[in-house]
Amino acid sequence: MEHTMQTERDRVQIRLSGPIHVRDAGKLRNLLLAQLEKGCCHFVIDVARVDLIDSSGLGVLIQVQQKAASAGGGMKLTGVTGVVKEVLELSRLDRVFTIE
Amino acid sequence: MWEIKSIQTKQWVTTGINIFLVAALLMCGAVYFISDYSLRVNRELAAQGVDGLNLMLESTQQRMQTAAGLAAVHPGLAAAMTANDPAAAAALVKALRETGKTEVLRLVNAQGQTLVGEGGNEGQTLIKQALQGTVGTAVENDADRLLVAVAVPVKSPGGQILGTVIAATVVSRDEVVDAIKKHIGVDCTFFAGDKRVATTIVQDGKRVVGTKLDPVLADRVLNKKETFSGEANILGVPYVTYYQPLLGPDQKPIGVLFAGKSQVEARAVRNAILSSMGGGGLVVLLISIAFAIWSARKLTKPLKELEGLMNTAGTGDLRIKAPVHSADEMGRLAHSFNLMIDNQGDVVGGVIRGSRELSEASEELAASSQEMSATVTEMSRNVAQVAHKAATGEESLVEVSKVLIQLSSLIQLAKDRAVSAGEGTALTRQAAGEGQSTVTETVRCMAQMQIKIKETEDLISRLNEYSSQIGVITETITSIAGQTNLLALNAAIEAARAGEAGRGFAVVAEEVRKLAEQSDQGAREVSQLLGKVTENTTSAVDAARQSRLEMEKAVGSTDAAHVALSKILGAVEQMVDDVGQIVDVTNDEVATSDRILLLIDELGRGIEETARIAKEVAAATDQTAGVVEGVAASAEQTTSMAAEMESMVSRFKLRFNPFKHREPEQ
Repeated sequence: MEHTMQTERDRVQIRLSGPIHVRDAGKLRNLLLAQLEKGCCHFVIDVARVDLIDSSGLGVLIQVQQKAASAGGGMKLTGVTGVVKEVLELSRLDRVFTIE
Repeated sequence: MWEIKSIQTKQWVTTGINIFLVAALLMCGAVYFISDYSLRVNRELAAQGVDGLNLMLESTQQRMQTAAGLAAVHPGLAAAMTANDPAAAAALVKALRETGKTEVLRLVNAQGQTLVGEGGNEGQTLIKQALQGTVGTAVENDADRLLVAVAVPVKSPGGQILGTVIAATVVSRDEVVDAIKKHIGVDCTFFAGDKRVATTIVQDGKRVVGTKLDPVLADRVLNKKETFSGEANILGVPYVTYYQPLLGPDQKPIGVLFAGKSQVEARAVRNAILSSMGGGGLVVLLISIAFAIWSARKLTKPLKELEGLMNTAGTGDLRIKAPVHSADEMGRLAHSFNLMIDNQGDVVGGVIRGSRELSEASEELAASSQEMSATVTEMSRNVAQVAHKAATGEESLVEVSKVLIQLSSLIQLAKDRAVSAGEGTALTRQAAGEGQSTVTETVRCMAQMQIKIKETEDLISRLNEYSSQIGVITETITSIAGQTNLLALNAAIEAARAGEAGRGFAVVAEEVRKLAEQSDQGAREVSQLLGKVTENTTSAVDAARQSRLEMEKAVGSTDAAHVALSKILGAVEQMVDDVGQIVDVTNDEVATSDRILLLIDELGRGIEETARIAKEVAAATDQTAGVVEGVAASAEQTTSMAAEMESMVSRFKLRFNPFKHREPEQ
């Protein structure tokens, strides 16, 4: 997994690419939790170039969403297509996440 | 709205309207054709009237041309003019005017001066043309008179133009227009400019001379030089007219020629025709209406009979029968009526029987549907609960999915960390083992060093003893050197006393004394060195002792490190086992990503399918409940309707008992 990140005040925009396996999920978790600790609570995550995501990655996204919501912010997913879309539909998480 | 309630009335009104329409159509056609024909004829007559006026003008012109021509070619006139004899010329012109019946006959010389005649303006415009040798003719407007003037040149026998003869006459005379009216039957008028100067039109017993042409027509005919043909009002009377502009010598309009036919007569004829046709039509209309009333009465008599029978049947008496008088439509109608009443009787009998059966059946149905309604309501309640639970399950599914995926994620992350930890722990275990080996080797080396230090300490102690012994020897040497030095001194003294004999001995004694001094010097240096050696060895002994003590401490510490390392190794071994167990636990397939997603999807599908089916079943059950209620309501309604129907049909009187089997009528 690779990522590019832009932060502006309490807003974080992250563009992910490549597959997200368990090890990538750990990195992503650390990355996002670090941003939360810095006080960022609005996340926009672009998954258009993500070609694989498993339950470990989904769990990280759920955790980040919950923590962001607790901090008074939120999380949006953009570019949801292909495999990511299928996985979200399979897991019914498309009803949980804010998808644009 | 007003409505005709009798066929008789409808019949005669319809016939009357038809005849009236036909008569009106015929009258309109007749009026149209008569009007059109009279218009065309009158228009033709008006055109002919104007043609007549033109012919009159032409004939007058020819007459004037003949009179002037005859005068001009008269040899006496040319001779009188050549001889400049006005009296002779005047006598000749007078004679010629009477012969030619011209109102004006003038003689003008080559200079344009009137030699003979009244000296008016007639033919003034033609003089120039005639003096150039050409005959000139024109119609002129001279003080509200229309004149026809002709100028003919008078030539000498040699062909020289001596003057001109002008003949003119007034054409706008009543007898001219009266002659046209007499021959063609139309009114005619000469206009000088736009003023009537001669006309046949009479108003209040007088000709309407002096009145003006309608300005619109005057503009069209006089200014635009157009002819006009059509209907126009002349002094309040409708005419079919024809107007033609009358052009002067310079082609300018000087007047108008008019001919027209009064429409009054044509309209009177048309009205007479209309009156006679209207009277005839009215008579035909009245006769037709009388005939229509008679035939309608004859036609409606059987209908009235049937009406009475139908009223009887309407009260519920179905025992009646209509008489059949003829085989025409009325007879067939009466037969059909009888058939209808028979069939109606059968139907009413069937209805009476049916309504009683229906009443019984609907009561049973009402009872059954009430029971069914209770059951369906219970079922509906249960299904609604299932649907509600399924819907709740659907909502919970999302929460379950969140929790499960988060759990799975955490387990997988933990497993990943455990694997990493396992790898780290193995390295730690290896390092600890290596550390333990190193410590053991260190302990062994330190023990050897301890021995070596002990040995060194012993050796230094022994060296110290040797130093003491060397000190003693040095002191001995110093003492010997002192004694030797005394002996050498004594020997030198003795040698000196011996003189020459003792000189050699004195040298030996000196050498001995020097040796003694050198020995003493060497012994002193040895003693000093020994002091230093002793000092150093003492320090070395202290250092060695200190080293030994430190070494003993180090050995103790190393032993403690060995023990600690052993414990670490034990702990690491335990950690490796624990991590291995964690990895084993997290290796369980339940926690794998694909499996968990598939499980959630299967669960979701199941719940969603259940919810969907539950909704469908709930809807179907509700529908069924509605239907059952509808059936129950219908059954009750049917029961009441059956009762009502039974009471309604009870007023019918039949020829048979509806509850008994009926033999077919022969």
